[in-house]
Amino acid sequence: MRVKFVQSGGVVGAARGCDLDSSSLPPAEARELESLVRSSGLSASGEFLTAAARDLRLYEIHLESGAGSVAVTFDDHTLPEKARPLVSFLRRNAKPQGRE
Amino acid sequence: MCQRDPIQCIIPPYITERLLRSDDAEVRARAEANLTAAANMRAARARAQAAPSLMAPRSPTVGKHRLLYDAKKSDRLPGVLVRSEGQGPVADPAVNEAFDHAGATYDFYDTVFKRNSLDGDGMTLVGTVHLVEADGRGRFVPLDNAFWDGRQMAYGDGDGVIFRRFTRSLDVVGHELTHGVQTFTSNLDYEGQSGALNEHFADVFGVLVRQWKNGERADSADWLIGREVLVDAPTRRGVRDMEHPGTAFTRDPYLGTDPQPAHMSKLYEGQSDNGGVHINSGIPNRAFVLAAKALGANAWDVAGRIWYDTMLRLPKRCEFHECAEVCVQMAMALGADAGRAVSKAWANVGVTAKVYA
Repeated sequence: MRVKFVQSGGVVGAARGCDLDSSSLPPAEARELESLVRSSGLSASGEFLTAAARDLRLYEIHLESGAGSVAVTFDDHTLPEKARPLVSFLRRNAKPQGRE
Repeated sequence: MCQRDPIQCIIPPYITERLLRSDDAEVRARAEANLTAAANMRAARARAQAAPSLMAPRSPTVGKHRLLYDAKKSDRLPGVLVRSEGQGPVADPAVNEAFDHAGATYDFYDTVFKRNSLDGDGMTLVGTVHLVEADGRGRFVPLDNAFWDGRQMAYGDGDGVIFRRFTRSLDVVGHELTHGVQTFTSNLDYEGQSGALNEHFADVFGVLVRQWKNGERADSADWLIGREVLVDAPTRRGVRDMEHPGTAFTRDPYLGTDPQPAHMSKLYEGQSDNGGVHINSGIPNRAFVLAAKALGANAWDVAGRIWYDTMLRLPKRCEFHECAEVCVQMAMALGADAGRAVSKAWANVGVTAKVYA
């Protein structure tokens, strides 16, 4: 399983992210990541953004596994409760991102 | 298919385009249905954005009216009312900062542009401090952000390691309130170049509130945004530098290196940050500073007037060159020299604007 994550936006606008492959993580972290992905409920691609708000942080998550791929974007207000532990894990593993 | 609020849910166009080319007829049919649904969603969102005044709380005096709430370390808005218009300072510095800076921003728009609050009609300024967020482990941590939610401002206290209280910065408070002004004026779409202009105007009037309040002249002013919200470190000076985009922070352990371009040749074309709304704003930001310095005196008097008149006239979807053309038109109304100075400022960042004689 591979998980690509980018946090952007917020009034600061600095991007942070990570690209995690469970096959190259320590076993305990790989199990935690796979468990968080399973319990996140993220199963269909889409953008879920709050139209009227400004300067919320955005979270792009791209999941790749044997079951296919899912690409989602949420902001602070649309991030589902069930996906927050996954995003928290990804934020802890994120590092500053340069421009693509 | 998305199951959330249809106003907030749109399948990315690149995915729909790919599905429309599928060999599977059923997949193509679903993609076509999604295109129709997306159009309906956009129409619903446009209706919601077109009527923000329906949600605006009115000042009882039709003048300056502020309400400050304390989230009490929760993630719920607005929280508990802790200070209202006419009441004196309280013991909490975050409340007083948010209250005073909202007042300065109201006074700036009222004095300089004769604008009565965000909607031009005495809207109450509502703010909430001490907002927190869930950390995913069942705990709440201080929010590392400030935002405009479409009706009010909200401020976090920062983690104390990288970020400090977001209420500390007058230009950040002015920035968030200018998002509110834009809600009732141009309401620029929050993506791509329109979104970068939305961020640009928020920075322009955020920094002008501070310069006006402190009496800073254009030639000696500080063009940093958010200096006070960052914990001091040699790798960071602010969250943006309007005069020298791309230099506010360098190789910072948390923030990295400031990604803002200072010229169209370096335009960010990726998808993150709604297509780089906080990144590409560096280009018009620098144009504004160059124009303000060329026009001289106080930036809010001439350059600010030109940019304010421009902000009122832009369509929701607007590219940089269209903004530059309106800007030059507004400058020409003040004289040919002003028109040339503004046109040159935009040209220096790689944006060509026709000059109307």
